[in-house]
This record gives sequence, C-alpha cells and structure tokens, in this order.
Amino acid sequence: MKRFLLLPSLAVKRVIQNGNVYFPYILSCIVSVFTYYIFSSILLNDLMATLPHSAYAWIMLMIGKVLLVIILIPFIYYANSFLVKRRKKEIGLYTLLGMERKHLLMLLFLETLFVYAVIVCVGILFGSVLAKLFFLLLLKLSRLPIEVTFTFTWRACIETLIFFAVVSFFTFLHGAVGIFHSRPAELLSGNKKGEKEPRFPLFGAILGVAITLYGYWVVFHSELDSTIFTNFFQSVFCVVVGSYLLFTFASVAVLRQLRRQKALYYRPENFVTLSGMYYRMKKSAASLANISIFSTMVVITLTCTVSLYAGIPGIMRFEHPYDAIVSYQKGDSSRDEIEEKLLELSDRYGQEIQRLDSYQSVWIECGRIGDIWGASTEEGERCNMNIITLSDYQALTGEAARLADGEVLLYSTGTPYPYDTINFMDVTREVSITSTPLHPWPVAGKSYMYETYVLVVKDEREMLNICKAWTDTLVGLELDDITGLKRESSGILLSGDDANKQEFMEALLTWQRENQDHIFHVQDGVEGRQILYSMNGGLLFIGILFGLIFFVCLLLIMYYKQLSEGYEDEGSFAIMQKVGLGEEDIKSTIRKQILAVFTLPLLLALLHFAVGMQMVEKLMGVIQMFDTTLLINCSIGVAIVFAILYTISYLVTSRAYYRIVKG
Amino acid sequence: MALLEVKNVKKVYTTRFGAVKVHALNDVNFSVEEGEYVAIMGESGSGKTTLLNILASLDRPTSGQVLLRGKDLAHIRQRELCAFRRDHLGFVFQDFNLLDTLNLRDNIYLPLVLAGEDYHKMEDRIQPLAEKLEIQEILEKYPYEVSGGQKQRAAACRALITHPDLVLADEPTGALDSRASGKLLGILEEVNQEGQTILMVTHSIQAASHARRVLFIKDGCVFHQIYRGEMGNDAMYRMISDSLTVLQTEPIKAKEAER
Repeated sequence: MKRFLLLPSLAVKRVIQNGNVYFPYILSCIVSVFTYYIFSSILLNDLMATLPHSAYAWIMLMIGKVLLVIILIPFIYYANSFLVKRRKKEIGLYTLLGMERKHLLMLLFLETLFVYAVIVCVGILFGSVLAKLFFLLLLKLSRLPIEVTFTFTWRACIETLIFFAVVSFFTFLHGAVGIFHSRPAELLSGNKKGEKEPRFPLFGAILGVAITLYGYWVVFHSELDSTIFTNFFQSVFCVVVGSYLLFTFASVAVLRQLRRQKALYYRPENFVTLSGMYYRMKKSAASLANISIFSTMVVITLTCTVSLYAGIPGIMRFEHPYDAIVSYQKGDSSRDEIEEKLLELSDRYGQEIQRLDSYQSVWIECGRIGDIWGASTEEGERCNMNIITLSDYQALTGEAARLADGEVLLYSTGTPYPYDTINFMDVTREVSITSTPLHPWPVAGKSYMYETYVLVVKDEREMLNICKAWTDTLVGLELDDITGLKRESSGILLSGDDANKQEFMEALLTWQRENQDHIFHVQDGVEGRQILYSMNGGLLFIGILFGLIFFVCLLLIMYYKQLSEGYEDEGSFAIMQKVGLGEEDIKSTIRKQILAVFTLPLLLALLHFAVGMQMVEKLMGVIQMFDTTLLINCSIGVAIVFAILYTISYLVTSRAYYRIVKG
Repeated sequence: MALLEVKNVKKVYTTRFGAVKVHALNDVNFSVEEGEYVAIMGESGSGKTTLLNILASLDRPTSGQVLLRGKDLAHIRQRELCAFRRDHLGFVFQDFNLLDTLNLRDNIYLPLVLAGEDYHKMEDRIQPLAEKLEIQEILEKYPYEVSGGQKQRAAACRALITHPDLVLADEPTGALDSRASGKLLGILEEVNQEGQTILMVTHSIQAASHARRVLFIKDGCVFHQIYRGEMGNDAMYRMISDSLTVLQTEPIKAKEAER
C-alpha cells in the first residue's frame, strides 16, 4: 500500500471495525444534522416570511433552534467522550508499535473528518428529501395555507455544514486532549480497579431525598403569580440535583442494607444480581440519573406541546368567546343597528349563527381582601370585575332570575366566592351566587393570575351607584370619566367555511373603519384563532422534533451504558460458568439485573413527571388552558407511549450487552 | 473402584471445513484413586489443557470415556453439567478467576450460594478453611485490593468449600512468585494429607514435586509416570527433572537409533 494512504485507510478501518461503538454515534449525529438542517431550511425559506400569520410559528422555530444548539453540544460531547475512552487502549497499542503523537493526531483528524463527511452527507441528504414533508407538517399543524413551492436553500446547507464543522472540531480537540494525557503502559494494562464506595451513603441518600422532596414541595405550593417562574427553575434544579444524589447515594445505601440481610442476600436468585447491581450502581449513577432526567424532559415536552395543541378549542373559548365582538358607547349606536349589520354580513358570507349576544358591561380592576373589595389592586387579591344588568343577564342565560333591592348576583370564573355579602368600596350588598354559565366569561373552575367576577345588578341605576362608589374612592376621578370602561358589546359566534369567515371578518372590519366615530372597536376572534394555531402548531412541531432528539439522546446513553457494562462483565460470566452457573441462570440473572437498573430511572422519571404536571397545569393557566381532563389524558397517553418506547429501546440495547457477554 | 478413570480418551480438533485435523489427545489412559495427589506434566502443546478441560467437563472427548465415581461424564446432559461441576469438582485456575464484583468472602461462597445452601452452613465451613489458608483477615476485601498469593488462596478456598470429590488445579502457581507458590503448594499438600483428592496440571517441577504421583504427557499420550513412594520432596524434584530430560531428549535418541 502506498504510504500516504496508510493513515486514511487505517482511520476508516478503525471506524468500521469498531462499528458497535461508532455506528450508534454516527447515527445520532446524523439525526442531529437532520434536525438542525430541517430547522434552518424552514427558517431560511422565503416562504416563512411571506405567509400570513406565520410570524409566531417562525418565532417558535427560532427559539427552538437556539434550544437545539444548547442541547446538541453537550450531547455530542457526551457521546464523543465515550469514544475517547474506548480509544485509549488502542492508542496504547499504536504507541508501542511506534506511532508518534503527530501520527496519532493525524489519525484522529482523519477519523473526525471521515465521520464529519458521513454525517453531513447523510444528514443533509435525508434532510433535503424530508424537509418539504416536515414543512408541510408545520404548515398543517399551524393551519397555515399549504404552499407547495418550498425550495431547497443552499444557505441552510452551508449553515449546517459550518455548525457541524465547528462541533466536529471540538470533538477532535476533545480526542486530542485524550491522546496527550495517555500513558501507554497504563493504557495496555487491564484497568480493573473498582470504584471507591461513596462516603456517608446514608447522609447522601437523606440529602437526596430531602432535596427532591423540597423540589416537589415548591411545585405543590407555588401559586400562579409573578414568582411561578423562579419557583419553576428552583424546582427543576432541586429535582435534577436530587436525582443525581438519589442514584449516587440512595441506591448504594439500599443495596448495602440488602447485603446485610444475609439470609436474603445469599440466595442463588439474589446473590449475583444484588452484588452486580451494587458494583454497577457505584459506576453508573450518573448515567442512570441522566436517563431519568432525559426521560422526564421528553415526557413533559411532549405532553405540554400535545395538550396545548389539542387544547386550542378550549383556549379559544377563553381568549375569544366570540368570532367578533363589536363594542361601542351607548348612545353612539344602538343594539338593533349593530345586530342588523352582523346578521346581514353573516348572511352574505354564508355563515350560520350559533350565538348573538348583546350586553352592556363595566370593567373594573380591584383588590379583594375577604369580602371587602377595594379600588387599589396593590392590596389583597387582584381581580377583574365585570358589572352587567339583570336584564342583560337574563338575555345571556335565558334564566328568569330576580333581584330584590340591595341584592346582587355574583358569578365567578375561578373558585366560588365564599361569602354572603360583598362590601364594594363601602357599598354593602347581599350576595346570591350563580353558576349558570355566562358565555362571554367561561368558567375555568380554578383560580389563575387574576380572578374574574361578574356582578349582576338590578338595573342601570344600581350599576351607576356602584361605579360611583368606585370613582369616589379614587382621587381625581369623576363618574363621567368611566365612559371608556362602560361599553355596549355585541358578540357573534359563527359556524361555517373558514375562508368565508375570514371574508366576513374583513367586511366587518372595513365597516368599522368607515364608522370609526361611533363604533370604536371590533375584537377579531378569527385572526386570534389563526394566531393561536400558528403559535401552538409551531410549538407542537418543535415538540415533536425535540422529542425525537431527546429520545435519540436517551437511546444513545442507554446503548453506551449497556456496551461498557458488557465489556466489563464479559470476564465475570466466563468465570461464573466455570464455577458452575448454567447459561440459563446467567441469562436470567442478566435480565433481572438490567431490568432493575433500567426500571429505576423510568419510575423516577414518571414520578417527577406526575409531580411536574402539577406545575405545568398552573402554567397552562397563564395561557388560558384550563382543561384539566385534557391535560390528564394527554399525560397518560404520552406516558404510556413513552414507557413502551423506553421498553423497546431497553430490549434493543440489552441485545448489544448479551452479544458481548456471550463472547 | 478408582475415583477417576480415563479410558482411551481421544480428542481431535478439526478446522472449520475439516481440512486439517489436529490430534490433541491420542489415547490417554490412567486412573486416580481416592485421596491421591496427581500432577500431570508436559510441554506446551502436549495436550495438558485439553485433558484438563475434558476432565472438568468443559469439553467432550471425541472418543473414549471419563468416569468419575463410575459415572460417565459424557452421559450427563448439558443442562445438568453445571450443577455436576458445582457439586463434584473444585477448580483452581492460573489466573485466579475471582469476580471483581464480589469481595473474597462472597467469591468463596459463590458455589455454595449457587447450590442453594443455607448461609449458616457457609459460615461454618469458611471458618476452618480460611484459617488454614491464612486469609481470614482479608475476607472482606475485594480481589483488586489483595496480592496474587492471597487471591490464589482465596480461589483454593472457593474450590475446597464445597468438599468436592476432586480438585482440579490448572497451573495454580503459574502467576505467583516463589514464596507465594511455596505457601500454596504446602497448603495443597496439607489438604491432600487430610484426604482431599487433587489433580494438578503444571509444568513447574517445584509444583509437581509436591504430588504423590506425576504423569508425563507427550504428543497426546501418557508417556511415563513416577510414584513418590517414600521419597522426600527434593528426591522427587530430582527424579522429575531426570524424567523430563529423558522426555525431551528421547526423540534425539530415537533419531540416532534410526541411523
């Protein structure tokens, strides 16, 4: 062979011969390239800038890409460090055979180059074939008009090439450091030293449990207010640290305790399993904790994005109870005029009317302490108060309710109001509670950021009394100033073809612009829905791709764990066979051991997930997603699918282990 | 009846497509009586290891019989072989074969645990053995924490704790320095004097000189054997040494005779 071909061919051969180590690495790198390329080719496509309502999907994707980079770099570093470790022995051999460091560096460089070439070629190839498909998926999820003119962009290609060139360069440096730190003699001798047992396992275990429980406590006790995000990060931090401590210390403490139960420990069915796990736990605590945290991330990401997408109709009910709400001042226009216009337009665009409601309301922000309502939002619980008259209430609900003098009806969208009276800025009224659904203010059934109340008063005079009480409390505000807060509204909810609905909306908005002097606002629910789909659809799209990436990370961590343990246990099982352990016994022992080791992270992940959902449920309240049943169903569905996939990957990766152990 | 009888054992290794046949053992015949201490000597490639693997039921002969207490090893089914090895045979290997995941005590317990013994019984058994082998101080240590000699004594302890019919030792001193070897051989001799049958494969004259009988294998056949009788270790050493010289020079003589 020609001399200059020796190193390149050696580099390529090494990769192929160590396929069981390199192929999974290459495969996960290909998935990384693929995902990165999909993100950048969608982001860099001109279409994304021109499609209507695509801005939100675009922003979601942009955030997603930044997160992707943040995740990919440590992930590839982790995978590469496994390669660096496996490479050490070989480097020792090459050094003895007379290779100098410059040759080794050259070899490593060529190998990195080869791997880089393979991953970008395959990744970009698959990416460009499937980018259009993924783009269509995004458009479909975001309910954006399906455009089929998506084109291949060189810029995405170049961006991907550069990003992974940088990443590969760092993996090369990482490997080079490994070469410089190598001592040939040490590398060749079998490295059989056992790990030191962690000190004070009981103390560490208790600390781990305490920190995890504190994280859980924060989750259970956090309220939906300005502190929720700090609480969120606090609990995530606690749970991550707690998981590491649990796997490092608690597992050792428990197994040590089990070993002390001699009658139990010295049973053929437990002996090899327990001692093996004890030995293993010390080594693999970190990777088990990683597996558990990655699993939690996958499950929470998918549950959030799936339930947000599935929850869009529910969110719509809160954000936009009507397709259109026309608002005006009393006297500027009349209900009849507005309703007539709405009926005419909906008829023109072939829409069927589901609801058409007109009501007058005053909107006030107050602070509530018990049954005392004050004007200052700084004191007490901040809440929104909508005041409507009894006649409008009757029209909205179709209920023939009656009110005596000095009596009001109170309706709450959150938790029920627990008092018999209401002291509204020193005006006291008897309260009777109503829970008949009021369409413009749907019931969430729980409290979120600000509670919303609807106060039904006997007539317009009573409405003015209450408003007066409010303006009197506030310095420099007269009753006449509240006209901006008091408005007539007509809301219409339609069903019919989406495109026609949009035309209806455009016609309504044009009409409003022409009559700006007496119709001051039209709230556009049709566009609101499209924005919601654009945003949550984009989120779901990211969720799917991230779920994929996280899952590949998980698979790789599992695989490398099995592989390294396989190499470690190879000798042990040969010995056991000589001492009198049958092949069947060995198999069942291995199965038990791996099963125990792999079930633990899954169980912990599911526990974290179940607790974490408590907070997710509250966070969902911020974006008006109150459907707890939907959230629970999504959680259960995602958890089951994940558990199945987890089991499959466990089975697949443990085959790698069996292959090695059997020799 | 002899404890172990080896009758006309042959072992032929064939390459994958049957092109080349290697006769590892040609026609081996010998027997071991209860309470004997037999050493098998031979050069590298003489078939020692093949013979030991067959005796250990790790491998099967191409033809011939191996009888342990009159029971033919070839008639034991594959799935029962492990239990058979565990119950009747004890092993000492050149490279110790201790599990890194277990401390010495648990390594020694391993065959008893696999046999489903009660752990009180294990504790009763390990006590006198560990004292005799001088490892009672280090029982809680892991293999990587102790010396080679200590590891081998622990391995011997593991072989003896099941009270096997026969202890098979494969180059037990191969990885030890002379002091550790001496100590181990002394212990094996002592154990044998208490009635334990031992069969050892070695090419160390020092190791073989502790045995009561030495078999010499050459080219897959038992070539020669010597009995210790009333000889001391030193005399035995000289006699083995002489026999080996004969063994090695014999082909030259044969060639000379042909001329």
